[in-house]
Amino acid sequence: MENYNLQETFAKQLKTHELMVYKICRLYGKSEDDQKDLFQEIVIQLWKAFPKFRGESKFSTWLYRIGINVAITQYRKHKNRIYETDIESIKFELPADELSLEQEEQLQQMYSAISQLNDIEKAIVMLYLEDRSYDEMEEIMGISNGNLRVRMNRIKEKLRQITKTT
Amino acid sequence: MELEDFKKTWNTSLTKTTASYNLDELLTKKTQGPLQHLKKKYFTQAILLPVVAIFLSIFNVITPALRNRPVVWIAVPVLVILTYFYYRSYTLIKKMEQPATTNIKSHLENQLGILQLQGKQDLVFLRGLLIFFIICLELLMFKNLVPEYNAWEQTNLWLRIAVYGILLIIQPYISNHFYQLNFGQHISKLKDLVSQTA
Repeated sequence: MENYNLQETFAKQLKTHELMVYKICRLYGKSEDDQKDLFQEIVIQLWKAFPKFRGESKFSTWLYRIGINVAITQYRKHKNRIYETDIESIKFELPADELSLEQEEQLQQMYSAISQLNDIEKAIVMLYLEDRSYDEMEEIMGISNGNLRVRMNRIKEKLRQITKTT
Repeated sequence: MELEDFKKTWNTSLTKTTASYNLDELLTKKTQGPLQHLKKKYFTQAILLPVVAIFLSIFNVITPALRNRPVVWIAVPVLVILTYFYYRSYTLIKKMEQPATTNIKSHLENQLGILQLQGKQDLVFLRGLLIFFIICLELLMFKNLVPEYNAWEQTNLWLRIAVYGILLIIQPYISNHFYQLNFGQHISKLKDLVSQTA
């Protein structure tokens, strides 16, 4: 009964925050299968850690820590693997009519540029895009506030260079 | 496109998902992480080897021709030691799979520390084990308990010492090779990630 309640609470929390998990999957998983695979790995790790979540940090901070950690360490991109889970599809509803063809191209160009960053840089960019404060980013990443600001500037310059050459 | 422009698009377009999944099913499915294969392998070995050791002991006891042959009995402690190693590796992977409770940098450093410590411990343990086997071998020959060892006993003492010396010199390389074979890729990955957080 207790486990059932716990799973129900977890399911609610996951539903509220699932977009964060999808965004991690989107950045770290190359193909749709990779993204599904990573989604499953992250959800399992979140579920394992959930009973120990005491609310000492924000749920989002806790989720990012676990999610990013899974994405960079425990997850391996599979080649030619048979997919086992039944997640129908992990897709974002893009308001296509609001984006011009040019904007969409630019969007893809930026995704492609971000995919060329290393794992930690990707995490920093994602937290930046998610409008997380540098203090929260420090809490998640363990990298000092000052260092994060310097790195963010370097990453912006790096992305500028990549998008210029492509 | 600048990152700032992308940020606006990111926050306005990625607002909802069309995904559907069954949480119960998702949580009960076997994961495909890189450590899963190793964990399964070590678990199977840690279960099978003691069973083989027990069967071998019973077989040695009920077979009069084998009962007093120390050579055959050596296989039993070897199997037990191997079991211990596989079990250690299995528990190591379980530790590695624990979700991150601290920040990412600390967690990565912690995982790397665990792996490197176990590598060092294995090295020292195998060194001790090798010395123990050399002493046992010399004692068995000294007491003339195993006729099969006569040829080795009659070999020049200095040559025997030289062989033992070579074994002790190459043992760390062999131990390290096998440790790297199993965990080397993961150690390199973690080292790379830790350097990225610096």
